Amino acid sequence: MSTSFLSFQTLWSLMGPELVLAIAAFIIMLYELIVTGDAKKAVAPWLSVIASIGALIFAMSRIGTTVTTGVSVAVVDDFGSIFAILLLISTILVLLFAIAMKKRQSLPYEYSYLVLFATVGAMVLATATDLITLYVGLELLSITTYVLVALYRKSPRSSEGGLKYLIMGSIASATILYGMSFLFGISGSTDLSTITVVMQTSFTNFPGLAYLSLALIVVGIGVKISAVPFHLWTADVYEGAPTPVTAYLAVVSKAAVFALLIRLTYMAFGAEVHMWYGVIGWIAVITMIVGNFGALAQKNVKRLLAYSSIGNAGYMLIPFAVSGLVKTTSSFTQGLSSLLFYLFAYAFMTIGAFAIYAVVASHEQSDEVDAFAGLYKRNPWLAGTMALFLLALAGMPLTGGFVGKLMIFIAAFNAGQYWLGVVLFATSVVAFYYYFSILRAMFMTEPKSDSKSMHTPAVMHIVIVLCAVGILWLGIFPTTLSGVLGNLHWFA
Amino acid sequence: MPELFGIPITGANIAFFVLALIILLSGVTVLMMDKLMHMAVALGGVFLGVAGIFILLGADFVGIVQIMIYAGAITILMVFALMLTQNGDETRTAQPHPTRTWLTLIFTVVFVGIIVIVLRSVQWPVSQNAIEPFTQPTVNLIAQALYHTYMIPFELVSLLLTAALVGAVLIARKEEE
Repeated sequence: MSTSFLSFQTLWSLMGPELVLAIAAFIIMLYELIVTGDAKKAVAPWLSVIASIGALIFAMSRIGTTVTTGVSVAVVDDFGSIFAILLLISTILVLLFAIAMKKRQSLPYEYSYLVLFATVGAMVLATATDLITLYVGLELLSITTYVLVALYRKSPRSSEGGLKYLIMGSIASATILYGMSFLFGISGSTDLSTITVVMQTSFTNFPGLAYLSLALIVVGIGVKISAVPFHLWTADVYEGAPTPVTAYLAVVSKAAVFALLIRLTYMAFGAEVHMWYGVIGWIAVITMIVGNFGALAQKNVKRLLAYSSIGNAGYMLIPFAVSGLVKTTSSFTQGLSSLLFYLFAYAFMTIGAFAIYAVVASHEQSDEVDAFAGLYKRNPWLAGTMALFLLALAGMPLTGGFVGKLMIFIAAFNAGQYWLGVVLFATSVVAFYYYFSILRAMFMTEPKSDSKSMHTPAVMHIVIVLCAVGILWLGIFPTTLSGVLGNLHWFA
Repeated sequence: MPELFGIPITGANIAFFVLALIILLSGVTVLMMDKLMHMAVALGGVFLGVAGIFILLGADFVGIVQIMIYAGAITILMVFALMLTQNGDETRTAQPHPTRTWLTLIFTVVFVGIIVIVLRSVQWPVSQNAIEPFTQPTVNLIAQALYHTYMIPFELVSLLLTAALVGAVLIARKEEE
């Protein structure tokens, strides 16, 4: 490995958006040290939003550019850039969501820079090409989110969720690290491109080690993206965490670990991908089934959305599972495009649904589906947008959720894996059923007699409008995003 | 050379198994003890054993750092923290269901069995041009790795530590209201 000296110039060209966020996080820390009183509680989160928007513009400007330098721990390629854009858009929405909730469920304002640290970790997972850097990025994301989950200290559930997430997440990280150590043992390098070359022959030379390494990495990542059978922590942690943090876990954490899964497994184990795609396919199938059927039994809306996010992880595993089978590069990138398109749609609909849930639940002091009773009569705007997000999650046409599922469906069919497409379709029908329980409560039951009209914070309207416009835009004009995705040069 | 279960009996191997035994026994003691103070002391044994493994592998600098920071500073810090904060330091653990204990045992045995079989069957790749044991002190090599090759992850670790520090204070401090 070349050890050229790392100048700031090189660092800036490699990790510009990450640097913007990291520097902003330290400036906000200094700001809260100098300024006292209520001003900092109001201003600090907005500074984070501004920093994230700056980083987003930077990341967007890098689409189409490729930078590889002598410093081989990270690259700039379109795979990393598009994931960075997705992560930053979601982070901005979550930050706005948290600002909107400050009167109802106030978080210590330190969350504003903790979220930035976590997002730096998430973006590193998408850009790094080195085992050590990937692992540090993963831990930066994980450890910061353990804290974020336990932030709402008045609630014992939040502490319980934080502790569960800490224990499960640490075991998962250790499992991934153990798997990575075998890769290092075989190749003698932490650099992924060197590992790619060595692993071309390693499945014949060291079959036991290669499969053991793959199994450990897939299990560890399975815990992080809450794939079945590694999903048992999900509902408790999502329920205990403050709702903006739940949205962050469901969208940013999950998307970042998907980026890790794709880059790490393709580069390290891509040579024998046809040998192991079937296992991922089966994980996808049981994840879709358990996630969607598990949601049927839930009365608590947050747990219902948690199970729905498990089911969604199953959908997102399909393009990854089938991409090992495709013969041509174009259908491989088509699989990646379908995953990214679905992730964008998933970000908008999930954050939107959690935002409206947070307004309703904090107003009614109840997490149950009953809290939504008669919402249409009390606040038709919230009821209408919630219906939009739920229908998008279920896969209703004219929403981004439908187009995303259709693209995944086509990717499965192109690879000849009809069974995955069929399970995707069947479990989506089940999903309609449990989302319908919330829709029925909103539109077909009478509000409780003592219900007052519901006040929504102004910032929350911004979040809801942004998510609603995003999800409708992706549904009605899908080519604006899929066109961009189709022209990407994914890997450097 | 005399062999036992296919493993040659050499000084290094004997040292390895003694150290491994120390680490495992200390680890089990951490889990079995009722008092937090005893756990903290037993954890010191784990750190010392790991330091021995590092030294055995030729990473003498890391081994000494392990003793100074982990076995020394961190264990002492934990003992102090316990003495300053704990009133009654008894921990109570709920007895898990026996079925769960048995299932855990079975899965652990299978998992460890697979790993042992795989590791024993591997012919590890050995570099053709034999590497001279460290032409320069390991401190130089570590500095080279940290500040050149792994500069970016090193900087990221500083972010990680900042986030962990802020997080620990946030979770541990008293409620403002």
